[in-house]
Amino acid sequence: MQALEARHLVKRFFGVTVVNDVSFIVRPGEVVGYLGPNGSGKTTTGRMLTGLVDTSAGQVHFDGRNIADDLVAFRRRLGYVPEEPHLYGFQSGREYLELVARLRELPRTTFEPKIDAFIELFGLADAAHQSIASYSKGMKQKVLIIAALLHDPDVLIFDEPDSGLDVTAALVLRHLVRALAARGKAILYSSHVLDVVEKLCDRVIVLHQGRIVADDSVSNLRQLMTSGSLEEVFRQLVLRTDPEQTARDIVAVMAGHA
Amino acid sequence: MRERLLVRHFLQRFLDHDLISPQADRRHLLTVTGAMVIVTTLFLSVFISVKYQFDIFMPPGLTALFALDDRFFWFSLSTLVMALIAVAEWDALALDARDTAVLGALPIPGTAIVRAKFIAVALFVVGFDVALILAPTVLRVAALPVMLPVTPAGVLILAAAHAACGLAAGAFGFIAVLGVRETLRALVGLAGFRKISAGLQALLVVFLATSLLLLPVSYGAVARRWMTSGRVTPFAVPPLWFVGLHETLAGRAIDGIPRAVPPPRYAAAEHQATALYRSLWPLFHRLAVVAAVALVLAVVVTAIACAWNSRRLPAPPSGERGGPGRLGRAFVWSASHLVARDSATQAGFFFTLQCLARSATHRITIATSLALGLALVMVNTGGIDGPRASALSTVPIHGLAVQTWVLAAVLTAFRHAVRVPAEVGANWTFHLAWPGDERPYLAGVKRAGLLTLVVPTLALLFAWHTIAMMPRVALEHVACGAAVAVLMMEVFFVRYQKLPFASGYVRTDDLKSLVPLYVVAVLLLSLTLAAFERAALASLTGSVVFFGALLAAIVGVHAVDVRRRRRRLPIDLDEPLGGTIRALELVR
Repeated sequence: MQALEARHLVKRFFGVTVVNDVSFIVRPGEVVGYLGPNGSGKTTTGRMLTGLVDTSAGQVHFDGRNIADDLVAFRRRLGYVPEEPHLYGFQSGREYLELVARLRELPRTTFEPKIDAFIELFGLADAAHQSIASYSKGMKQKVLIIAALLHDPDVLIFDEPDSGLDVTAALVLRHLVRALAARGKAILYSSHVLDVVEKLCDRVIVLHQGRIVADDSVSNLRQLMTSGSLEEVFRQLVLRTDPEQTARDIVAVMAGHA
Repeated sequence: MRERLLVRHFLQRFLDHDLISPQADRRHLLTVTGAMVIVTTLFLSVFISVKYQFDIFMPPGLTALFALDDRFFWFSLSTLVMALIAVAEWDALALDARDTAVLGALPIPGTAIVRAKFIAVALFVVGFDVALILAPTVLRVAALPVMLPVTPAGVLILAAAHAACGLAAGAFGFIAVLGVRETLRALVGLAGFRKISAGLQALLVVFLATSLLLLPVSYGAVARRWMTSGRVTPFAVPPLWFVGLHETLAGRAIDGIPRAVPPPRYAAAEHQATALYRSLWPLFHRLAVVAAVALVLAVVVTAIACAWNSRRLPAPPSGERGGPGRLGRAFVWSASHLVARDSATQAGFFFTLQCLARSATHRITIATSLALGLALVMVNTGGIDGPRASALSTVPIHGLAVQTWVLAAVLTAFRHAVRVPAEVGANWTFHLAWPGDERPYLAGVKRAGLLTLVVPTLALLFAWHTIAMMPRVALEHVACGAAVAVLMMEVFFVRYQKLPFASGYVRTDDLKSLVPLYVVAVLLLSLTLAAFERAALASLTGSVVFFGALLAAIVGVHAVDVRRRRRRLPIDLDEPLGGTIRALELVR
């Protein structure tokens, strides 16, 4: 089974545990939402799942095998959209995509038409030959999404892929994720936009202070927490402060009434 | 208060620099740079004063003449080093799009930002310039023979004149570069300047670094070589302007010393030196005027150009680059079909070309090595006077060895450049898409290096060789160079387990001991190779054996590398931990 499985993942940085005993499975055709406040360990989990960061304990399995046994083979079947759009600023968007395609050993006859089509579909045609340094965040994000899709991967990890995207591109992305899942791809989707996760994901994992505090379908979580929306669920599971009160405090500080 | 903060912000920009010190600690960088400048000039001051301390009876005429050499050296050093600093800082010299992004949103008048930038640049120039002239000014008294009766006032005048002229020379070097940059930007506009900026910067690095490297061999006998030979007009050499200014200000302090009867061994030389020195007085005065006018002109033109360019904060780059033209597409097609046929080789090939051409750090590394190569060629140009050689056996060995030195300089720089990541933050691209076999990617990198660096270098060397050798001989020698370059490239990448341009980079800790050893090894090997080449290419059999041996060496080294890589050792993709991190036990 081509499922991505995290088994008791732990990550410590200089003695501080940022991910603690995290286990879950993402099955083919499934979109799993990965939620949590800033600093809860979402990005670190994503990086451990891709093998970009070593685990302090635990293992990642794909297709029943530990990815550490053959990381290159796993990455051939992986697409990853990172949170931070770090790209080579001196390259054009097209050159970056060509580099990725060539590193992935795709034949020129395959990747050239694919890149052309992707660039057109993502609305980057006018900027394809401009240097990435002049791209907006959304444009960089589109380049990252294309790079993750070029080799038709079996498993996709999206780490806040909608950040910086315009409304149209965000809508396209939402439909794209569903279409990819329908084609049997296993997808982990990390985002802060609860509405999107609620509409898009079959299952939601909520992370708090490095630990999983919930792992279930959105409907089950709603029933369990007797809440009307995912936002309410998230509020009950994770938030330790009242957001409305915090907002009022911020306004007070801004106006000098603190 | 606000202006002071802005000035401090701009001064920090000179240290937090993309090219010089990305992500470096500012205090550390400042300490190391300051110490390096002061220690180097201190050493040179002591070194230069040795000849006066070992010749304590040197009379005034000879002392004045020798002092001309010293002043020329110091003022050239100030001019070139300050000009190189300006080239290194380049984009930080003027307000740029990053300043617009950071400061544009704040309620600060544009004039305040521009004024703060001007002040920061001025402070930076003065700070560096003072550090450069400090040691030779303080030790000016040591560069005088002990028995020369210079009065304390005379010593003070000499030191003050050295300080003033050294500062002026350094400022001129810096302002000249800034002026060229800003005037060009004013003439062609911001968008046009962005297109030519990188090329201009690289060209200036080659020119200035070559001049700096040639300084040690060109500063002796200044009066005879530069001022009276008639071969080079002294007005074309800026440091000589400041020598003239110095002599106008303080020349009398030595020349005006009453002449006693010199020791017999000095008598004739002293008489000639005094006559020569005094014959140059009118030239000194004219050079002094040129120095003053040139400095004022440079300041005025630069200030006007800077003010014009700073009328509004610069907009971020609009990304006007179009797709590759017909020539570019033809190159990509040819390279993809002839040089790098499979995808991973193409990745290495094209990414290397992009890094070398577009990444400032890599471009400057290569430009510096070209400057070194150019300096080596120029130093050796003196040995090729006379009729063109019709056989290699008549060419001096050092004349043959220079080709290997230039190739070694260029390829060593290339070997260093591949160690430096193109952008550390983007290394993850390679980590994720890495195909698992480094051989094709490395082959692409090596081919790009040979095509873009070795082929043009050999073409230039061939043109230079034809001045000294018959074309057939030059061709034989260049063919030898091509084989040596391929061999060097193979040797440099044997056991290379990092990913060119995409692995983490930590500076080699024992560079200070390795570099001299490496230089000595290159010198010895190149001279030995030149001797073999000269002997072997005298006959057909010798030529066949020589080229056969080189070919066998290339194939042998390549085979060793291929065999080693069959074992599929893991490639080093991650950033290795530096000595400091290990020492502080900041390890997971």
